[in-house]
Amino acid sequence: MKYSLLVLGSPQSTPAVRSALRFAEAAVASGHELFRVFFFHDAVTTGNGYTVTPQDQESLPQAWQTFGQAHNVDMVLCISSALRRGVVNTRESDRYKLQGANALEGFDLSGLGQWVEAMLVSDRIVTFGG
Amino acid sequence: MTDAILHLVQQSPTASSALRDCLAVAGPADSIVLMHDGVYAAMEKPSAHTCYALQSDLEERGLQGRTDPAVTLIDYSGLVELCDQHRHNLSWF
Repeated sequence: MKYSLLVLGSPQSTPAVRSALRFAEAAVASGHELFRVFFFHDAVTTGNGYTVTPQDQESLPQAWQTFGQAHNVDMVLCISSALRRGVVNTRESDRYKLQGANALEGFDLSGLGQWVEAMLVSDRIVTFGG
Repeated sequence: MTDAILHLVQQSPTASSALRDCLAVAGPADSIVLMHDGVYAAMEKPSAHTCYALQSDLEERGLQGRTDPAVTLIDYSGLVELCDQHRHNLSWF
């Protein structure tokens, strides 16, 4: 079965991002395909490569990056949510003449159309709110 | 495979109207999963619906052993399995 996930809550102050990762791991372990994970609202800070997590805690940005690359998952940060929160890749950094880029490799910045497409092609979508 | 809806309740019943709003529209054949702070509702089964709670979220909040025996405890594989079985799921938060 083909799954896509919508993640909304902040990785720092809600369980949404961690919970979505645990679900994604279980879905892949059960033999499902994870088509796309769409990070929206505060969840886009998961793609911020300048996040430093204390050593005794799981780094959700790194854990998602590793998981996404290992299982070839399309991970999308909502571009307008990301720009508002200062999460930019080189393209957006150049476009807005910012000092640098901080989006982690493996995360794309794109629009809501990517989520609409995911809803159309997936058998199941699951939302992780907060 | 069922056309009944799997409701994923993700907020505490005392801090949010998520559970109440869900129960107001849930059909009798629907099932409810309590997760995140939603697991606080597992201490007393909230309705006649089939009800599940995510074990790891219960443990994180020190609620293990304090849940209603009529609430079935599941892990993330169990949650994936429930999503497989239900054509539709709906998150409340």
